[in-house]
Amino acid sequence: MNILLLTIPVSILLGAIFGILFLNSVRNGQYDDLVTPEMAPLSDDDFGEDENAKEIANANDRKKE
Amino acid sequence: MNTEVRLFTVEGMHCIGCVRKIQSVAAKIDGVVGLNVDLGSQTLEARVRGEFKENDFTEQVEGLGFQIRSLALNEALDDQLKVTRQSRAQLARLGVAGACAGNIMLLTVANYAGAWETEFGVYFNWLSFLLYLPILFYSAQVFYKNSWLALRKGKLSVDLPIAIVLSCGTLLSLYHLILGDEAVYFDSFAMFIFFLLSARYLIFRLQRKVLSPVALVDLNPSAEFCVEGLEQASQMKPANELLPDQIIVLKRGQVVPADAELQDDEALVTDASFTGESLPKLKLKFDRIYAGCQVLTEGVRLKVKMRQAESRLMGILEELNLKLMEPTQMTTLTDRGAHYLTVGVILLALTFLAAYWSVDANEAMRRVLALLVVACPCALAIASPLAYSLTLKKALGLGVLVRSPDVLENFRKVKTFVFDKTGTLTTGNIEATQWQPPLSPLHAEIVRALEQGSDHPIALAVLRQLEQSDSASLFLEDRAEIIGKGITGHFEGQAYRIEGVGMSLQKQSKIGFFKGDELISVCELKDEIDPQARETLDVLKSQGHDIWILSGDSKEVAEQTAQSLGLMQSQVIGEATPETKVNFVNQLSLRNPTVFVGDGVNDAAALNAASIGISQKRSAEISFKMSDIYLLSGSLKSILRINELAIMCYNTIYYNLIFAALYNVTFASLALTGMIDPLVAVIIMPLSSLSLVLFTIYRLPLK
Repeated sequence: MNILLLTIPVSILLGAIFGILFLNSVRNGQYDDLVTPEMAPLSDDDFGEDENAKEIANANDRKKE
Repeated sequence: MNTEVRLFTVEGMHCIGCVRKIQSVAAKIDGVVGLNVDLGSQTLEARVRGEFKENDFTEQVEGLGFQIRSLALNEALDDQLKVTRQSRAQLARLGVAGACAGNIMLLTVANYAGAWETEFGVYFNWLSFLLYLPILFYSAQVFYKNSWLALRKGKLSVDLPIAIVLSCGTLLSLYHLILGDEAVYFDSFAMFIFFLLSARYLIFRLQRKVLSPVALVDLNPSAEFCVEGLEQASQMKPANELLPDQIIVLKRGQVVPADAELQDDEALVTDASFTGESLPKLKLKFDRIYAGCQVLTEGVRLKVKMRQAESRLMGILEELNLKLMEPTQMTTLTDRGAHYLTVGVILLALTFLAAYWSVDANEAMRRVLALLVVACPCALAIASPLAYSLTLKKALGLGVLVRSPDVLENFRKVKTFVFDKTGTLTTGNIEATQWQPPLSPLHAEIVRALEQGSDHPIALAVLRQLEQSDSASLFLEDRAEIIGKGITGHFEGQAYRIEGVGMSLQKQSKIGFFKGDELISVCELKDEIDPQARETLDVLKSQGHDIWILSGDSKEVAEQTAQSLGLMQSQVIGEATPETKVNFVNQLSLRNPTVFVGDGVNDAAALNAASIGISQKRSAEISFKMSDIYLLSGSLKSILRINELAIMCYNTIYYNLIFAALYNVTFASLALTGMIDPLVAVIIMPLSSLSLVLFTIYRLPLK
């Protein structure tokens, strides 16, 4: 039974880590828009934040040239 | 590098393809460094650099077939940020409560299952207490804060009993925990808070959708204006940077950004948003033109007299904003119910405690706690908001935005409906009747040729009324439009003209067609009536409601409209200024709850004064802000549907309250006689809430 003295604190620690991760994702706005991202997979093109940033970067490069 | 955030609303986005299209085009525009398109709230947030030109940007997006509008920057952005912050805070609280409550349940179930008998029992209870602390001090904060805010105003909120139960229960559990007893209730309180927070978060998200900026129509002319006499020949400046004495040149259709003085000899201006009059007015040199008016002449030169912030329009906006800050007088059924229940339960608990304390202090505490738990207004705290949110969602599906739940309760009591005429019962367009006597084909052609090329609303109405013809339009010599008077022209040497007959120029409702000085035919002008107006009014009348029409238009025009809608002349008030509208609506509201349906800036104050204000899609922003219900679809018939929905919602809540009262009386007496202890109470409580939730969903199905 003594193993409980170890496993319970460990599980609480794990819980706390996930709790902090969750709070972080809330703070970063992951749950602000629940409509757009859920439709993203339906798009034929690649889609997402990174793609968007890449596109802007590409467009800026083209302007410089 | 300095960047700033610009917020736009984009109408017409339906799918991910639309988002994609906008993103790919917008990304290529100079100065855009970041983009965030939100399909849910139909907004676009752009992070931009100095070289960003808003006009280019909006033009490009409009080119894709979307309607984009820049939001009046700081205020809207602040609102948006505030709502986002609030939403995040609520979600964080909910998440913490869920995580802690779940883990507490694991420990408690172990204890119930037999761990209590082992040496771990006490250890598990202390662990539950540890996990309970974040809920108590972080997640449940809102309950203390809300009940304190209400108490300071001398009111009791539904949160107060929750806060009381929570603190009493916590103290008692802590006492038992320190003694090493089994009677700790951290698990039940943790679950309780988690359920409550979940229900509230769902409702908040729904309301957030209702209040998102897409619903706001921007009245502030945010476009840029051409300013004369700066270093360059002409320079574009945004509306809020215009200074007094600058001369601006407006294109046809632009909205005057600030109070100004006309510099040209004459110009046509419509101030329908102030007075509700649909006919344009002729302004002469040095006339004052107020912000919010629309110019109908090309290239009007105006001298700015005041900054935009000091203009009359802004005055109206500010006055109404002050009114918005005043606390509302309405109390909802739920609040009243909670009030009585709370007072009753607390008095009962105190009396019992005082009476039983000398008999058995410990038993007295136990029974009172059971009473507080079992009589906690969960039904009110969960089922009523659920009923409201289901109704709001159903309403949204019908294209109706409802501002707050109170509106739904008040709709039931409404006896009187007051309608604004222009833009509400009528479309705001002018309709021309048949010419009397009928025109000969040649004369019809001449009328067409005369009116062609004019942008005056009357000319457009006459052209709409004349049947299409295949022949090329006639050529008229010296065709001339005399602003504010009529149109003249010569055909085969003979002079013809069209001008107002009978009444004064501003109020003209008849125009005549003249050959030389001989009057050939007359055409009457009427307001075009909304196709759904008649049916809506008929149903409202058959339900026994009083109906009134208020109009800023002349008495004759207003009565004519009423007649074609099947109303009596006594139910019409013409030539109503914004002030008369407010007074009238106030007087009616004193007698009976009154609904006011309107759209213009001139209706805003009346919308606010009425028990329930309803505005439409084409409304000015300020009217939207003042109204309680907003018809997105713009269809008048939705008023009937929302009426039905409101009654259904009210009945559901009413049944819920009756059930809750019966349940509370039964179990409160059981608790006080010691038949149920706090543990059983904690089990019964969620069961009762669950049954109410199921009943509510059954009564208000979403499909």
